Amino acid sequence: MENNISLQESFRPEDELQYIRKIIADSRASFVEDGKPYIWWGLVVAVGMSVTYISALTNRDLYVGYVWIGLVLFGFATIIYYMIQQKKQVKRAQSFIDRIQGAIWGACGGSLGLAVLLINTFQHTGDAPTIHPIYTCFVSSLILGIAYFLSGIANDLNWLRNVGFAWWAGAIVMYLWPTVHVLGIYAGMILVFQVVPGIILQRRYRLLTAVLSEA
Amino acid sequence: MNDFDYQQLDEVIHSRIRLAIMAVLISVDEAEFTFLRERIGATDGNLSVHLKKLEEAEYVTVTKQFVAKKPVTTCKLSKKGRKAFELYIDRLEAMVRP
Repeated sequence: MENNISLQESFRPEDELQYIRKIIADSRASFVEDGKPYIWWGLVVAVGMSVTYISALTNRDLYVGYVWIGLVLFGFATIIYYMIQQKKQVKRAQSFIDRIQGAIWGACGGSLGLAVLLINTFQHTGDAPTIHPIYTCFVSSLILGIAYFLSGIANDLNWLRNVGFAWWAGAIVMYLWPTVHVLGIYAGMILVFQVVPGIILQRRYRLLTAVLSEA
Repeated sequence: MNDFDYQQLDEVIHSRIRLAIMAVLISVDEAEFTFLRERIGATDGNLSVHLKKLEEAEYVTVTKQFVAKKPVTTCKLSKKGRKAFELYIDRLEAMVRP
């Protein structure tokens, strides 16, 4: 076979395995997350939660409802813009990680949105149970814990998986200490455990795409 | 197995470019021809020839279609190809093992 002659002369199984590992790693690297949605949503929620916290602490009406409506609309607009941009890029390969990643955040984001909407909007309707809105932070933290844990495993990033543990630890604190300060804790957690991971993913993405384009 | 018993290795895969094609395809669901070309660094002609060999061995399925009036060739590893690649890796690892 044409290539085998030269291949056999210098053939070392170790090199061959190393070569295969490198190609697989390079291919997978082209599917690395760019972290942008983490940063956008993180900032949106951090701003909204900070306004809510300040409003609750100072007992002043800071138009919290309108602030949230504006922020959520802004969040959705940026996500739609992001998705359109992603679609414009020629996606020349599809990976299982891509699909899993979409499924994780789609399922968790949907659950989170539904929980927040139901607890804050319909709790006094009909036979719906009364849950103090402060517990939306607890529920959100639990769901974000699941999303980060699974996302870390799907991307083979231990630090991202450990962010899930941080969210679960935060959820425990929020459940056991349900005061107004939970809003502040949640705003801080969103910055540290959502925006910062997004920035790290963004830097990693830039680094890997630069390395791959040089290769 | 003897350390240098090449007869034990699948001849279809045991070529630098075909091995690279298989390695790229095992890490994705499917990939376009241009993606493979970039990842492997082969010329169009060379890549086509090696893809044809993998297709003939039924290790890879190649689909040609038009997307936005442009021809797009998509390659995917078949079940047979996946098994053959896994066996190839197993044999390489067996050679490395003391």
